[in-house]
Amino acid sequence: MRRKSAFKLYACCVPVRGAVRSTLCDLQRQTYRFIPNALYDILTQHEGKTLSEIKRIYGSKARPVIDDYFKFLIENEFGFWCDEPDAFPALDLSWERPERVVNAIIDIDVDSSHNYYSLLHQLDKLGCPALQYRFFCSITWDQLEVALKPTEASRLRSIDLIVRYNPDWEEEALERLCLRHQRISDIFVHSSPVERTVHVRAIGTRILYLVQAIDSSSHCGFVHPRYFAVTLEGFVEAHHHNSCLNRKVSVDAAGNIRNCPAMARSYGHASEVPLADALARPEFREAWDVTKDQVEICQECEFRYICTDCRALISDSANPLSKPLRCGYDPFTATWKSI
Amino acid sequence: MIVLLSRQELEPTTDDVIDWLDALGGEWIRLNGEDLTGRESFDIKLDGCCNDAEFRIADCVVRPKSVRAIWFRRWHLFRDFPVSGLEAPDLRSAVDRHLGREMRALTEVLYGLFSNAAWLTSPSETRVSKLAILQLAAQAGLLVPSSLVTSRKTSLQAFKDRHGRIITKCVGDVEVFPHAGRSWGLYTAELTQADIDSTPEAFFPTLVQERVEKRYEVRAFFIGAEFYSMAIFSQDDAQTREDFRRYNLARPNRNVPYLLPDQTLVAARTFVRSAGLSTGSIDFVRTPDGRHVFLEVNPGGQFGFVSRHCNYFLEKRVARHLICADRVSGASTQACHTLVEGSENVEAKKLKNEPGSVGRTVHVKSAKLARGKPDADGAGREPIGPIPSIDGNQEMPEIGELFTRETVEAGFYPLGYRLMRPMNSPNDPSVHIGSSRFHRTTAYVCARHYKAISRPIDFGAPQVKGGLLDNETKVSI
Repeated sequence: MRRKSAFKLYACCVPVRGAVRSTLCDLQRQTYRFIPNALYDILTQHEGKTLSEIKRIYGSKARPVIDDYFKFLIENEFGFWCDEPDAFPALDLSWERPERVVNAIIDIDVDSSHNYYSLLHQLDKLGCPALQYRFFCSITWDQLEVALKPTEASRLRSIDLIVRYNPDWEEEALERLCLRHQRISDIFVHSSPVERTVHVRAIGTRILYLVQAIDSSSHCGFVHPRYFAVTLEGFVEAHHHNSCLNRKVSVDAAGNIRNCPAMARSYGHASEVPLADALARPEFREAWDVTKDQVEICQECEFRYICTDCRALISDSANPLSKPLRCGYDPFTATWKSI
Repeated sequence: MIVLLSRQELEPTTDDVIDWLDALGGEWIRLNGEDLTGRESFDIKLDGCCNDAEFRIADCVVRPKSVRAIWFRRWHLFRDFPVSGLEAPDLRSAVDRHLGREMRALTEVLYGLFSNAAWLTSPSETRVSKLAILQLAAQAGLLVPSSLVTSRKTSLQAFKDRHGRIITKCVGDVEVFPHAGRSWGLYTAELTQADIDSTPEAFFPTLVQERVEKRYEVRAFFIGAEFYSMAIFSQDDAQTREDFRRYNLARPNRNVPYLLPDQTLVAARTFVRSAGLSTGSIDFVRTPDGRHVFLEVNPGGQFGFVSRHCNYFLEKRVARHLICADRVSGASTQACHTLVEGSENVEAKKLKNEPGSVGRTVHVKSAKLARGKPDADGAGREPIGPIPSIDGNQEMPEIGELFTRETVEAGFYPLGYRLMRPMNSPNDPSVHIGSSRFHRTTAYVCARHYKAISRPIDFGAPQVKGGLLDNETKVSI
């Protein structure tokens, strides 16, 4: 490093300050690291200053710590020393998508009677690129194929399947399914006797076998680091919109159109109301712009732009801006507890 | 009507622009090069003047006079025809060559049909030679590396002596050679003294350039006079030092938004104008002493990765540009571009309308990239949420030789052949699966969604992982 150089974070590495610690979100490599708030301040308030200037501000006792900080930043390729800091603008945090719907959920239980062709056709018209089918009940291969068939000619780029474990299915059969429908990104097999993960060879689709049962739409909204999305797209979206509900449309197991299946309000039955009409109602989009910066407690959390919010299941039903019910993280102590 | 000339596979950028065309109300038809030799029947009716001509493929009719904008994105290469029933290899290759020529001639007819439209990258833009471009760039005031094309060892040695370190690259387009189950690419490579010592006195004409010392590379996408640049920190990785296209997928180069200095920007605009380029990408090297050296320009080159890394929304800008070109009859690309700048509000209103229904498309999954495992936190298991966009778990191919020293000495080849390396790019054909079949098809490269759609799994309380700065109490001020 040169004496007169300024330290610059790569634009894709963005620090987020929490109540007692911060995260440094690496949106390119899709990871994050914890950093002390003191380092957050150095990176934000003292951005563009030289090392000696920063050391002068913090006094001689802090020198070895500051050296450690910059060693950490350089070793992990979070930033670089340069003489032309103005040539490197910060990332534009605006979020724009051409699609009117960015993801959709269709729930299925024993009594469901969805018209998949109609739903998929409508989702296509809305530009929807990602779909999740959640089968709460046992299903046959035929039922699965009936649901997947109309996706073949759609503009979907990704399909997630949540299916109930069926002892009659061979593991190879599920893998063949992934090869036939290559847009499947993940399959979660719930109510399984054992917990394990299978990667389908050549295409990398994941099949996760889970012991727990996923038997209703209210079995949702869990907050956990495994669900964090350290992606540029998710990160910038969370600055402007709700990280779960924005441009989402769902059809619950009974056929009702909702923003999310766990939300109370229905906008009519999918056999009677076109999805586009439901979406056009302003109430439908009420939760779309609730950001983590508005949600109590979350607004002081260092995970707020990589975490996915939940407005359906909240800790205080009387307060629409209370934190998600199924979050065990306390940003004031930086500890997780079971929920 | 906007016509998109593209190809079936590995064209996610075309798909992304189409999504924006739909959102902004553009009328489009996509034509993939492969469609002309596919199963679909097609005719080009040439009655009288070009205004009455008609192009039909399957059930889709395009009348050139209604086409006002063309996006010439990419086109099929037309080779390796299924020459069946012919056993003699000489005859097969002659027939294959001839069929390829016929298809390219036919492509010219197609271009001619749309000659009155505004082209975003006209075919003529792509035919300008690399060396002519270097001269135009120098005339426009850009710094360019010293270059020499030679077939003599003595000239090569003199050039090396003058410039110290030198590199070689293709005079024309890069090429990929299939061999031993992998693809070998002609990357830009350094020619060392040992390489020169082992060259024959005479060799195939080869382009050599002084090696420009890099601090980082700059990829500057332009459309009209607008520039959107990205710095690529390829220097810190031995694999990408000479050519960032030799991607390191496990630890990708840092790619960040960048602002070219005014002087370089002004010269670059002059260059783009004088070279008659409507859109493309310029590769610069930023030297340790702060100069920006022009390396080359890719007319109509890839921009998806610049857009994605820098959040520039280039697909939207291209879509908007095409729509304006289509709506303003006879406008030059430049004029369209001016108009585009003022169209933000109109387009915001359009976005609320139903997406255009003219573009018809069958979306069939075509290629899928294997996915990597990002470094997960918490439970230390792979996350459910994020989308690794580029594969991180592909094995790095070993560095080997396709053309050995003996081969090159015995034959008459460009020097770059000796330095050919196996490719390790996301375009590695070994990861393609499936194919699309119909014209207008959008062959989607599937991508995992950028976040979890729902979160129905209870993973319990996470185990918190330690690390150098992960613990607040360990290091603090």
